[in-house]
Amino acid sequence: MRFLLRRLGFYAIALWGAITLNFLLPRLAPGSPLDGLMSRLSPSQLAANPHMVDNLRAYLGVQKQPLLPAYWGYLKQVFSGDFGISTSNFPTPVSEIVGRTLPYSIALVGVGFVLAFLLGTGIGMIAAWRRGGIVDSIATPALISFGAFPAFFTALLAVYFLGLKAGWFPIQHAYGTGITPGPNWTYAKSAFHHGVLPVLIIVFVFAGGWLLNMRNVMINTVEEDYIALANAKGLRDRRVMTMYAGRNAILPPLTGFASQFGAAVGGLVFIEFVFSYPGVGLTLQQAALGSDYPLTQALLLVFSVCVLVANLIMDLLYVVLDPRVRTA
Amino acid sequence: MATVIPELEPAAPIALPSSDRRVRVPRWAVLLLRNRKSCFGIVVFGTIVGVALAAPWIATNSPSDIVALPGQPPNRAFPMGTTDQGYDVFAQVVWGARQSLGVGALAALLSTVIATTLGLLAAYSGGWVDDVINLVTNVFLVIPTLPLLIVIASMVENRGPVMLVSIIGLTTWAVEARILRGQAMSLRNRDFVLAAKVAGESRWRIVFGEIMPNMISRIAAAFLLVFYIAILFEAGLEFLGLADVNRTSWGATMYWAQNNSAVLQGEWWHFFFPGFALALSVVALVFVNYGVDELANPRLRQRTRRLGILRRLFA
Repeated sequence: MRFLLRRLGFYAIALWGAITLNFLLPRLAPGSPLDGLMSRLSPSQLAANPHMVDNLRAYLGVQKQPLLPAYWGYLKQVFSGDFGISTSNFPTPVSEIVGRTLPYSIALVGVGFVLAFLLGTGIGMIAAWRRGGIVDSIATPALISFGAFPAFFTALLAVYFLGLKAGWFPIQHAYGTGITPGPNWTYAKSAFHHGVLPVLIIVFVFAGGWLLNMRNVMINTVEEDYIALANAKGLRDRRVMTMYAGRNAILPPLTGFASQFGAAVGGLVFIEFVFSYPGVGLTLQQAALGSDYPLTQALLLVFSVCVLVANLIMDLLYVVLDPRVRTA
Repeated sequence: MATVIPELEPAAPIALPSSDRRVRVPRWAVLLLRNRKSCFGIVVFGTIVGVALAAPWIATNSPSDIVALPGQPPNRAFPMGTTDQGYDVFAQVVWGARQSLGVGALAALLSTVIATTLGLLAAYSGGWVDDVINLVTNVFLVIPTLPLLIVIASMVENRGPVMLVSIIGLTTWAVEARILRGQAMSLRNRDFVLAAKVAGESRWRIVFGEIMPNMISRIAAAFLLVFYIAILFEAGLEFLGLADVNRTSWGATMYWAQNNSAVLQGEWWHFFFPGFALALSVVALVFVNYGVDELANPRLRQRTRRLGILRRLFA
């Protein structure tokens, strides 16, 4: 319990840090972001929305308001879920755009990352158990090299060879043209079909990291006395590998979850960009190109919160897996 | 990592090459070159750096001028083909290595300087200094780096190399700081540190004059780790169009490939060669990293290697 409370406390502080960073960034940026923005807005947009400039000014912190009240106002806005109006998709509220795009990204990165974890740790376990065996000498270097490849290069290669040349997968967007998103079978099938390749890429890019971590820890674990004892007792080999060595070796890699997941979220931006996949990653890239600061800021916060939530889930899992933290 | 478990194997004598007497090759370099993985990485990466340095002699075409008919697949005159506008992809890949690797190296250097300062200071000082630095580090670790970089890049106006170095350096130090802090903790209570303290040395002098010189190999390893991450981020920002894409670099070439839908038009050479150069550099650095890991952690190696040398180096 104390472990979880401590983690929760840290996440609260981390969330506060992310929000504060978000608040400070436009104020620290050299030059006025507003000028860049104004030059991109069309006069008709401005004429139609006389309050927009004021809103933007408030958002970007360029109005003549003392820092502390502005900060307080920003905190209140964030916690009421009000992120303002997107300037590149004017006049759609930022929260609506996030709500529309986030499910796609969560589906991609959720499925992809869990599969990468299972595949990576599974193969890492076998690789360490039979060091120098077939799995270790083929899968280890292959997955590790894949993991070192830039995600966008892998994605481009996959689009070219598996999508364009082989024609196995659709190469653009999240569902076929002419299909309306909704709870119907055609949409579900199309969305699944479009999601397979991006998910596969996430799996192959991120399995290597898990494999390496697992293998490195497990190499130490297999030399422990209790493994020798379990073997001496005559337990089946597979049981010793999974329930004795693997069970203990899985804990340290899990603590590296935060940075791994953060990297996966970064990879997601590239993958969505290559596939024109309408998730938060592509939206972030386009918002950044279009200097849509309300949207980029909200998305940075969304990304941070997603990572925090994923970490929290991992901590809960950790409590289940490691009895020692339950009593500590 | 500081404690090397004594193995039963006797220390094998080090057979240094005879040329070693004239040209002093540092011992760690010899060790890295003996490890198969890191040797592969060093050779490949060294070749790429060599190509980048020799760019004017290797690629005679200008990377930023239209030199040929557009959209040619690789042929004898243009070994990597030409782009939709008629730029020479080979020239862009060769010249682009300079910006991609240069920005990556400088950003990693900046990141390492920040990480070393914070990590070592936190480890040595302890108390509230450690708490604060640790907290900031952890917050930076959970904020996803690439989205943060994208947001910062969208706010700055000049997106040239100097800006890229600064923002990548300022956002990637947390991983390193955590590693270095952990390693410096094990040095904190060593006799030579205590002795310096008793002698009345100042905190900064102890951290940078006593602890840091004893951690050079670990700092170098941390630098290598961030080096390839920085190269990836640099290329990534350019690929997403969030850096100055009118400069010549691997990421910029790939951005234009994506912008002109080169993939959908089947012009694979436009994205493949810069992407492959990037991937090769990163894979090479990752392999050097494995070599370093194996040197530092003997258990990762097959047990037939010469442990004696390592024990002397890392114990």
